[in-house]
Amino acid sequence: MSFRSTQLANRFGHIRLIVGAGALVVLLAVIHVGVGSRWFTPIQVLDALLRRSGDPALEFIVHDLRVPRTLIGVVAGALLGVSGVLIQAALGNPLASPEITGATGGSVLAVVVWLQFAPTAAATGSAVLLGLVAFAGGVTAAVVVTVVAARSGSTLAPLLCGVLVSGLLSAVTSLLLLRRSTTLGGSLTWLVGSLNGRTWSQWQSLWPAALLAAVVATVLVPLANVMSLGEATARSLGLGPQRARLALFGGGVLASSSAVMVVGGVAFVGLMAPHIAFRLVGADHRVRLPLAALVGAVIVTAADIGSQLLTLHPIIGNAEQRAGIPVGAATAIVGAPLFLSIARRGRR
Amino acid sequence: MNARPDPLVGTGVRAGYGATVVLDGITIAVPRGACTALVGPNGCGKSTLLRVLAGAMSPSAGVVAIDGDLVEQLKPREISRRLALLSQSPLVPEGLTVRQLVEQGRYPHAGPFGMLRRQDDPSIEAAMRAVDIEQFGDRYLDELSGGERQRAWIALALAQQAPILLLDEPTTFLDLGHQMETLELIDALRLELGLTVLVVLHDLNHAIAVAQHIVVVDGGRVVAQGSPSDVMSVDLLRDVFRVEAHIGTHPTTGHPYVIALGPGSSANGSTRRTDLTALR
Repeated sequence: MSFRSTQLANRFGHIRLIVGAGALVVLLAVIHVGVGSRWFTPIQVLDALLRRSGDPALEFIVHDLRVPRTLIGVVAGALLGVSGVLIQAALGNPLASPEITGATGGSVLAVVVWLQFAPTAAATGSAVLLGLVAFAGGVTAAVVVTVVAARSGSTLAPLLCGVLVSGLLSAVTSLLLLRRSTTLGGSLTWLVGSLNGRTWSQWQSLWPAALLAAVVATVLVPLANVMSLGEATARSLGLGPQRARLALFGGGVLASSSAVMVVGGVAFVGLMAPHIAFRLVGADHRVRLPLAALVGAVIVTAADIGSQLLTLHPIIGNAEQRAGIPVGAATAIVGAPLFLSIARRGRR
Repeated sequence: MNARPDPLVGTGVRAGYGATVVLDGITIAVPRGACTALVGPNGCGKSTLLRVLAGAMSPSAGVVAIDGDLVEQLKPREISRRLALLSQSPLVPEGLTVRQLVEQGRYPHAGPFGMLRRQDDPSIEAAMRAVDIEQFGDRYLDELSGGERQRAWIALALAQQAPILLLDEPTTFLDLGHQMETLELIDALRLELGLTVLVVLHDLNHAIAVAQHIVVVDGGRVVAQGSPSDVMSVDLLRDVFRVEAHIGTHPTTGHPYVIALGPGSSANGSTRRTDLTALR
């Protein structure tokens, strides 16, 4: 699709759009806090947040169970949006995303291996080690995919290769999980990506990684802009394309693996958020990157509100089980058709 | 006496792709403040020479120096502050406005967080004004005509504020009017900004019109160089471009002009003749 000047072209429009998306995130977050096995209205949620509801049980649920779950959802969604933008900039491909390049699958497998074979319990509990393991797994898979696909030079090669590698990785992950069938149930919802049962302890491991990823992404914005002009121009501007690609890819995997280690492989957010942001504001990463982060947060919180509602009125299983439909299932249902529609159009 | 070296010098440059030798020992000095045109038949190595001189490709032998400093010893960013290269028909990024494109030209001058102040840089406005596209600033590149787009890319190179400008076939794919506009722009950049320009051109009359110095490349070597009237000869056109040509003198400018009359003889002496008998 092509862009017309009248379309939200001016900077003032961009700033308003970002403020609006931020407000939408806050609104959805408040609703999200109220959604679960017990339903609270946004007014009740705000009262509980300000500790003036006079209902200790409500305040416990909101502060200790719901708020960390919502924060994790918002930040993980933002990380996946940022990751998609950086990986698309690295490969110069609008269909690239953390799951398509194998980064998500690599992180998931690495985390599963780590949790099963870590030398000590203390090592398993370390957030820093877990983060490093997830990052290393994501980078390894992504590098394999890009190096193999780079030989062909086609736009679709990295995607085909990524799908193959992702399939292989998830098969290996399943085999590993089958060895310990007792942990299967919990791990399976994590693999699809879920916010259920996320608490302050997971938030403690997420926020430092997210902060680091945000700083790295900000530094990478000028690189992403220069790389969008093509390799020859990047070189003429004094930017080595190979190093820039590597930096952008590393930043993208850092963001996706930070999210994956806490919420699992929430699919297609890293594809949808950058795409929607591009449609709204165009290619300039100074605007597109923050907007993609906000859109990612909107997608994950909205999708989780949707899956919580489906869990309340179960169409699958019975109400007493209330296992919770994982948010990753909801994002995949919306994301897969979008992916197909972008792929059909070829270029954006 | 001016002790400053020529701004861009290549000495004994050899380069190629894999086993294919494209540049076979080229020595070239680009004079300061002038426009130098690089001409030659297809595949003679013009674009490769431009890339090697811009530091975008390493020569297998020989050296390139910018202002007397060896390119291999300069950081990429330092090279891009001294020299801007506009490649042949760069891609058209989608969803990018003219202004956002030109802003990227400040990359070599910005620090890690420099993109935040870059949009207020006066050199962006100046570059857009120089090529007369400031009124298109908020339009997307894919809604511009070919000539306007070419000017936007030249503005990107100008925003780099490098004293040396390298252009690879800037008139290709443009209609006659836009070709003339581009040539006139190159002339203005040299005269008013004092830029040193090295431009690859296919049309010899364009080269004569815009350049004070012409370098003819054939088979990876420099076969002639000098002022347009020194270089252009019927023999050169026959040997290098394989055409029979008439060379006249332009009535108003006094420059030579070239009219190709037909294909010349190939190396073995036989005249090329199109054989269509099998298609009858």
